Amino acid sequence: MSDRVRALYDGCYRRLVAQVYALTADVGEAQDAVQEAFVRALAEPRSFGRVDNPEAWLRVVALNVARRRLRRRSHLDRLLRRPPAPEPDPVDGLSPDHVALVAALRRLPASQREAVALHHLADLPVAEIAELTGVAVGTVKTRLARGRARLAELLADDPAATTNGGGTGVPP
Amino acid sequence: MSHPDFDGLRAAVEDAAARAPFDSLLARARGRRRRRRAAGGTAALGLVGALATTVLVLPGTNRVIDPDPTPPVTAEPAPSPTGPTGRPARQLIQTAFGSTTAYALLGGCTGTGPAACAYEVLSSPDAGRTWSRLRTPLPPLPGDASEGFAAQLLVTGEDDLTLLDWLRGRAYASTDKGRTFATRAIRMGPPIDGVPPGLQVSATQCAPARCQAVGLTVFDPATGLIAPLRSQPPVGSEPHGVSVGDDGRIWAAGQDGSLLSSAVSRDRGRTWRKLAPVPAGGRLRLVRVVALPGREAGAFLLAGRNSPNVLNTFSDLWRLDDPDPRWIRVMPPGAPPSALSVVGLVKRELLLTEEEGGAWRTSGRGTRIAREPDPQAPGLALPLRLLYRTGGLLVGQLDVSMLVSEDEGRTWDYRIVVAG
Repeated sequence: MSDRVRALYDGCYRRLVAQVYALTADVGEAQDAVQEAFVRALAEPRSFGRVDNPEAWLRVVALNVARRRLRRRSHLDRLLRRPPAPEPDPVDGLSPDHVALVAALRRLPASQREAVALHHLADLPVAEIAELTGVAVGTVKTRLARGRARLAELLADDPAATTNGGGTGVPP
Repeated sequence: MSHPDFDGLRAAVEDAAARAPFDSLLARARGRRRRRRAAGGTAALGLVGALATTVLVLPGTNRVIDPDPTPPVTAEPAPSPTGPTGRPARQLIQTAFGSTTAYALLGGCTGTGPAACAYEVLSSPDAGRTWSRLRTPLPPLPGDASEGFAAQLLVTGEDDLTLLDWLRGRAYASTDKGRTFATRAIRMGPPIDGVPPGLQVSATQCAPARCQAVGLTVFDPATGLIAPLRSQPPVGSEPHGVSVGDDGRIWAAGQDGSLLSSAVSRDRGRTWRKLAPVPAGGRLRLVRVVALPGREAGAFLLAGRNSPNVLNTFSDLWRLDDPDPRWIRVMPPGAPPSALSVVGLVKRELLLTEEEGGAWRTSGRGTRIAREPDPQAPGLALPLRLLYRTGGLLVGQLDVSMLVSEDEGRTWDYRIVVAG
């Protein structure tokens, strides 16, 4: 089993980090979440061996790990009336356009950002996003449409999107 | 940029993603399987008592203060064998010891639905040898419980118990050992001049220059208020580590730009003396200060640089010998890469655990370090994971069991605790 997971680790790890990164906007958090997913696969070889689509399983686990951490931090931020954590340093090597895109993504509501990230970065079809997030297909389509529209506004008109975005990083 | 370049962004992040060695993931998975087997063994022992609930508890402490108001690792839902559906299994969340009573907080789920997950609170009058269940004021959770069990135990004064429900902003305070609870709303309070007797100080982490509650705070169960200290330690914008010594001194540390700063207060946080900073050597993920037991015994300072591979990364260790107010770097060769928990020992040494389980003991005043033998339960070797000091005892926490040491960790007494 570990050979199978190692092959997945070699083949899918970077792709999964990029997909989770769109949710976390922090490459360190994304790496931690994806590594946690692989550890769970290794710790549960029998369960993981029955999974039909291992990469999808790993992606869902990693997204759940990342979501839970974000939600807990957001709850505490609200409870303690503290501002959200400062935005993480941008990933090395990002072009100015990509930095602006990340900043704009951070300013989307969490539900829209997740839909956009899963569709455009993880290449998931709408139906699969609906299943993954537990909402109706129509809701996903709405979130995608609104998210894309808001992204277009932010990237076209708002100079803040080309700096640090000014967003929270973790909208409730 | 009318068409966002998602493909380019994906490629850039993929290029930047750092990979932990696969062997390190294997080691983490092996540690979990080992602990799960140990948990299975302890659960089997619990059934000998023919009781419906198998609960294994280990005490926390009201002396070593975690730098974050959330519980440490135990708050994270246990790895779910069901993966994506991920409902947390029954789990020990936290324990805490008072003067005569120990308390334990647990969570578990049965089935699905809006109230399928629930908390349990136990108390023990004999240092964890026997346990009984208390009425739990914490409301149940939905069956998905995807946020995990985020409540926390707090013991103040002699045996006063408070249950903190961070998600709902409620505290349930009891002054009669958990027989009755008064409900308080948790909210920020005005600054206070020092830590009131019997209460604990914590470090809350905040963004620079934008936070009303930055720094050291004190939670008062009687009012539900989280009050920041009026005089904060001069350790940068975010104090990350705080520890209270037997002599009442409060030690605090934090990253201040390229420096690791620290300060100590002899008057319960009213005034602070800044200590000479040491170089941080990069962005730090772990900053922990440990007051050593005894009066004027000095302290240790632990730091870990940001690492993609280790959460509680451990890369630097300094020692301060009273009355010399300087940190001396003593990072011992061969130290583990992580420090999940750490306690100061009477002989001015440290006992620490690493993330994957296993304890390490320093010698030579922190200049050497060696792996400790795993304590033995009946038929099992149990690598220690979380360590606390409470009174004169060291308590080691695994996922679902408790080990107690009365001799600074040389020998361990395995105690199974089942709600009766």
